[in-house]
Amino acid sequence: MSDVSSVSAGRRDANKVLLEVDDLAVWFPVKSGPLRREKEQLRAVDGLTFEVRSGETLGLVGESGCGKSTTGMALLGLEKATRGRVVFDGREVTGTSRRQLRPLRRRMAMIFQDPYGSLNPRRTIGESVAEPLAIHGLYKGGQRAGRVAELLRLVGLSPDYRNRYPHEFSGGQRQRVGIARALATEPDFVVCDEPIASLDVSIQAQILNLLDRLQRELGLTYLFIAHDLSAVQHIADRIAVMYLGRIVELADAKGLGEDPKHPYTRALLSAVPLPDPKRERQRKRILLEGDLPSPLNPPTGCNFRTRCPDRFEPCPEIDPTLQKADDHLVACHLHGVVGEPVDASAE
Amino acid sequence: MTGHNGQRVLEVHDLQVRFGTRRGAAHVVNGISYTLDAGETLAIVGESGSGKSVSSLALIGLVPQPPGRVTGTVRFGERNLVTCSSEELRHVRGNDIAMIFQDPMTSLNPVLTIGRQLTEGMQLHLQLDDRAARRRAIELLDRVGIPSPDRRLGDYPHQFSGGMRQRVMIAIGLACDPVVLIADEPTTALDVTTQAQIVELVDDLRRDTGMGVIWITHDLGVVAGIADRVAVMYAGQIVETAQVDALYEHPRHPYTQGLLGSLPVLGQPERELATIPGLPPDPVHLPSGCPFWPRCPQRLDERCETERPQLRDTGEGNLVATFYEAKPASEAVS
Repeated sequence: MSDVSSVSAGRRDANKVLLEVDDLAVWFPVKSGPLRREKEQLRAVDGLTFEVRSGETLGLVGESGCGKSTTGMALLGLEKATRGRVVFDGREVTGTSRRQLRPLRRRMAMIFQDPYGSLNPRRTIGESVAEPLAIHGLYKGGQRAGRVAELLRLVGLSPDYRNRYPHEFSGGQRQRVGIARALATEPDFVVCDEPIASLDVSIQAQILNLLDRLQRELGLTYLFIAHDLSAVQHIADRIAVMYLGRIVELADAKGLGEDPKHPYTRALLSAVPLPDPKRERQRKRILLEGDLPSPLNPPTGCNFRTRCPDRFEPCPEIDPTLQKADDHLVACHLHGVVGEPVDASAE
Repeated sequence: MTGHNGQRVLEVHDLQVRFGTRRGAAHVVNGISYTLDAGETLAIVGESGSGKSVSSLALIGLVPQPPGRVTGTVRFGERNLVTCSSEELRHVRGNDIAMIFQDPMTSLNPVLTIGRQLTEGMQLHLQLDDRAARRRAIELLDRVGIPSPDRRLGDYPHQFSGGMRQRVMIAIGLACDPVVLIADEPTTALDVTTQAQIVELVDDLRRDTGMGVIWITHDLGVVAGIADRVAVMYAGQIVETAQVDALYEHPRHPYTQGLLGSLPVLGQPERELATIPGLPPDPVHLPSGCPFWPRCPQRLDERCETERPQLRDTGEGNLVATFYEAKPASEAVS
């Protein structure tokens, strides 16, 4: 694989921004209280700003409930933004009606975690792969069958499979069908939402290699959402780490792995098991205290402070914003954001 | 890590499990043998369908017969658990051998308080009265890291987070000081930071109590951190077993090599991922000979297709079931 440079990321057109996200928030109203009359806001995504460059893979990692999947949905206009903007190739996604979005949606696609749940069991896989073509009125008439065959071949399945049903396939093969369907309309941008999480180890590698090859052949741009940092680091050029609806750190994949700045990133990296018994024995884990706070009532100031091993005075008071620290963007007071002197004892 | 006192607590010999299905007999576990010492952690690794979970359910009589059929011996003290009466097995389970599962939400009873679920086993097996049981329940919850345990005894499972629920499960498992703890993918449903906490907890408890742990998982990363010995299962057989260092340093079975090669490793993003072509076999139609031959990159000749390889010593501490002779360590893993 090509060497991932530590400064600029993308494999092609490194400077062209394909997707721009500005202060994106997605809140869900939740009824609570004994009579379900009180209304609270569940802040699934709470102020994300980042960009995705053409041809790159941006990894989005975080633990369950951090808002990474909701972010993916909101980028495609599948979840309504409460605040902020998403701009795809110069055109606004947020606040646009579904109909107006349709020409734009042709250029964006999504691959889901569960290929069991995302394929209709009563449709042949050929019908499932052809569905986006029908919706967008592409490859009409006799051409459509040819396109389906081409797509199946592209993902490593025999075109003869087109008349079979999802239950006749293994998990890995079903995920290939999901990928073929996502690529049907020739999208530029694909959100991969935990595409390998429900697969066996040996099959995960097949799918990761396939996604990698397709990106090179078709010039795709990926947002790769996953909780598995090893897999994300393998496929991503840059990685954004989310915690409780916010991005806490965004950096080059290599830089993030070698020199994590945010205490949460450090804890997350230290918790990833390594398949190497000798290194495992020497490792020191940063064990986080307690549980994830409720997104209904996130802590004041920095929302990681309740579990942070390095917290100090400004943390409960001031909400840190993403700031540049070396080549990373970090939202943490340790990195001198509020102009406070960095507390040496906290290091 | 390796500080176990060496007393043998469990000896499994030629364990087989098959299920009658409409399509014919499914051969899910096909003659596995292993031992477990006190204070030792044995990891059983395999992908879905490899028989790793069923083989451990069979140890403690949790495979329903019929449709299942379990043969072989599971030597636990004086007993052979395979031939024990269900009465005797009930005494062994929860008391001498405890099991924790992947999903604590489905293995805890949602309508009973956790205090009730914790004390039930103690009252049954240890004949503790209410007060003593309550005191022990509080101690256990405290030991597994649940804050203010006395106030949480009256709570229901849904009032705990996933990680906390798994801690409650572990506390229940430990209630009667088991000799063996079987942990079946206990961290698979958890986030990595929570997984790290639970792995550490089980390892601490093992060290404190000297219980033997059988840790069943698909995750070769977790195994590296906790196991003393590892058994790799494929199609219901142990295809390779070794001390943890030997297994990772010089895996000798082509399947183990493939599994390790297909893992993305943190800090090595440029690494090419090896893949194992094809799919694991259907347990109703197992291939003759070595179960791995249809996918094996090192397949030799007809012998692989007709004769089942037995575990043999490679002379470096690995026992492998393959006819393939691995090259020296420097060339083996590529």
